[in-house]
Amino acid sequence: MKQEQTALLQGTLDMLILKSLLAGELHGLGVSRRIQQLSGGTFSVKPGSLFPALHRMEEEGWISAFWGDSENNRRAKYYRLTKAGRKQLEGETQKWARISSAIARALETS
Amino acid sequence: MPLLTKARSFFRNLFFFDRRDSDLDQELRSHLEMLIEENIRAGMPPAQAQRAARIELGGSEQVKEHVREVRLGNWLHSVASDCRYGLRQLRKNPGFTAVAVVTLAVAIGANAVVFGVLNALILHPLNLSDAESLYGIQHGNEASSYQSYPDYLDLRDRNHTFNGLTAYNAGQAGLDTGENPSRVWLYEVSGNYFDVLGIHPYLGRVFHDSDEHGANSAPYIVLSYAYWHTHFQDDRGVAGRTVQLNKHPFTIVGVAPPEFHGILVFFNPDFFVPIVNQEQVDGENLLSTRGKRWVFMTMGHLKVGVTPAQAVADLNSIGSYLEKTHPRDDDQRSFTLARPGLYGDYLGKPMRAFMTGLMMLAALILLAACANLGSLFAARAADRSREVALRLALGASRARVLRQLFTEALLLSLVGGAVGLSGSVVLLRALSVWQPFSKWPVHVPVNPDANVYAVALLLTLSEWNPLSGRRQ
Repeated sequence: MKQEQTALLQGTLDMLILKSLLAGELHGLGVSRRIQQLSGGTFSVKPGSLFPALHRMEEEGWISAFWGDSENNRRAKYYRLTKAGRKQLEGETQKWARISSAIARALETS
Repeated sequence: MPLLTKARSFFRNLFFFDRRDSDLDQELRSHLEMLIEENIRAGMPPAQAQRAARIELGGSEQVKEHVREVRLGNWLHSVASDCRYGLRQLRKNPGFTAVAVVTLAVAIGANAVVFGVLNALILHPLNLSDAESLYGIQHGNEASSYQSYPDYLDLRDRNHTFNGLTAYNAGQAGLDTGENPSRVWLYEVSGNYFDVLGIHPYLGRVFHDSDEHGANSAPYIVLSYAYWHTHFQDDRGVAGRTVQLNKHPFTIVGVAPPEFHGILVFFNPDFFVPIVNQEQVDGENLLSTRGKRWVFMTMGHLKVGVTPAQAVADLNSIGSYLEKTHPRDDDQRSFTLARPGLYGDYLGKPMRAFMTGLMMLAALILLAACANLGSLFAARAADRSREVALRLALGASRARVLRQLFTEALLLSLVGGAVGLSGSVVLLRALSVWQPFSKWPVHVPVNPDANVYAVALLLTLSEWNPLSGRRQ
């Protein structure tokens, strides 16, 4: 499943992380894999940008963290969407829809 | 709600830094282990699985540093740790630290002392409202301000450019308050003295023009605050008391405010008496002798909108009137204006020149110190290239390493500045209470004020620039 990977647009990482947590709590690796899956393998988030983003968003109050056991009974830090995070995701999604449709329109017209 | 969460994170980051950090360490470790498991499940041999996982994670120290950098309050925390590290470095190199601190202290201390004197004596010597418009009248042909009393009266009554003209003279007399008579320094001042200068009494009243009714008509004393404090023990009932001045009865009418001790910056009289009573002080009536110039200084505030040049022209026209009317006593009367605080140009001019020279000298010392320290730091920076390389390899960002070096240089200049400034404050305080001549009430009022502290801080920070500049 070698696919061409694209660098994430500035500001979209937060949105993707929030989206990946919408279905339920995940640990860091889970978030990374879920984003890969959601984007059909187009985006892969490296730990160097994933963890700073997770910690920043936790401090923003959009997600909350807790220690739990992984599928293989390993202790892992899990992240869960908060109410503020849900609202943030809604806002970002709307903004994104506006931007992408505008850009699409701009590129279509000759 | 988010604000509360933020505040909580901020305090957690600040006070539970170690726990936050070990938490992060554990998170990354479990992340790595899960990556390895994933690879093994995908069919890799263990060694290869580990290698691939590590490659995907990247440098775990770098990741941690990135996380730390986004934390709230990280800035504060990293500054604190930079300071701790900097202090440790300075302690580990006592020779270097001592040389740098002493060099800085001497340079900054010298500048602070010189600036302190300059500030106190020249920049704003007079503690008066509207001191800017206060001028003393000098002779046109020499740096002297003595006038005869009749000439003073003519100048006072005939000028159109001053808001009142006042005169004073310094003298010595014997004071008897009923117990041990002593010699005192006093100012004989014109009746309008306190009104022209805008001085209100601290206690009782001051005398006015209306108290003067000819020679020896106003036997009143206004004590200086300091003399009232030391010789009358702050006795609030002092007004109305009669004392003997050169065996003549004088009535104490009030006490001048604490910050006022006449206009001459370095000379503090014990009290003020009306100049019309000078015969009782000096033993000889000089009020009507035009040929004898004994009144030490004549001064006043220029009227609003009047330039010094206009005032001089005004005074000179009075001068030519005097020449014509009293050719025997008043030949060649022309005038100039000067600041009265340092006895006009007589002391003021050489003093200003001297202080300017001194300030330039001090600036040279500072420059030399900068150059010295610059090369000292350059040598040390060469020694530290290994340390910097190590820190970069351990995941520190370039900006962070640079900031640490800046912090260290700043610490050093602050310590040097503090040492220099405290030395100079001690020196200036000592100068202020110093009385060079025990017979004269002469002193050097150079207590450091906020200006001096500000300049010292500025110098300290300006030292820091070349220090850190050399580090690039």
